[in-house]
Amino acid sequence: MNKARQVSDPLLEEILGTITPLEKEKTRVSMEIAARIAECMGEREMSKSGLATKVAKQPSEVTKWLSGTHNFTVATLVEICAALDIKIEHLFQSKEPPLPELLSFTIYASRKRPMVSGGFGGNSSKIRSHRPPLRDHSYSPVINFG
Amino acid sequence: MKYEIVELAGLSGEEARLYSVVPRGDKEDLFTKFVRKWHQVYPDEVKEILGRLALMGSRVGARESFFRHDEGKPGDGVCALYDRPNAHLRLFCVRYGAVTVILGNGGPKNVRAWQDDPTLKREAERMIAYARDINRRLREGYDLFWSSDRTELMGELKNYDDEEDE
Repeated sequence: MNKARQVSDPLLEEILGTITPLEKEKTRVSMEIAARIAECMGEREMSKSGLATKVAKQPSEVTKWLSGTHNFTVATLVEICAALDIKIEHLFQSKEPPLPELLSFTIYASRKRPMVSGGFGGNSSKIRSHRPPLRDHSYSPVINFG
Repeated sequence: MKYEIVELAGLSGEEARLYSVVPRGDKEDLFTKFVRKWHQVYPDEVKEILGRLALMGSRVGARESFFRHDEGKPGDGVCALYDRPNAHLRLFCVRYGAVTVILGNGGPKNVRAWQDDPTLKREAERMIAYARDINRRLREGYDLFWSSDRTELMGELKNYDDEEDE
């Protein structure tokens, strides 16, 4: 059975390489909030029109929210959470760990003095993080070796 | 129609596979053409599109709400990547659930409907034609079909022989 040939164009790789960890994280959060809202709507069998009615907006506004491109205000998120009867932190609970480039860490050689401390952000560190299994909900972004 | 379906290695991931189409006689796929043509005119938008697609592949999947639907014929799966109201570019694709997307070409959306713009019309109609052919082949199941977990296209991804070109 044949699989598709994999192609990788240098231009695409080059542009992808210019996306900073921070830009990646902003996009991830926007898309995951949208995904979480859509999931909550699905669990409640609530349509776009249904949510729009509850928050006194047009359904087209809900379409924007769910597109993964919307820059939410806190006020809008609070309204959405009230309409869905969820806590706001529920929207930020990723099923997966944060992107490894943004992890902060402290490694202790002894209990008193940190040997290494820093964070991953672009080219600032050459230390590579080990990304845990994708479904590991217990993963914590801060690692302390005491 | 003669073409090859290729997987975009830099965008595909555990959550979704992203493919594109190389028409017979062409050297590169439709999506790479889109990027090559527009990245200097709209660099930020092209970068954002690539970032979103890469995240769909690796983390969030190709969720229905990330796309504008009904860009093609009823039920053919042709859609466009959701674009902000102030964005300039529209990218056509064919979506199969949250796990597979075939990316096409697109262009600047200066008009409300793609039918009103020659470039968008050409690219949308091309995507509709590919979707029609790919859907037919998938329905027949002779030379193009889904993997057992229904996440991967298998079979004769290239539906012609190179000798035919000679």
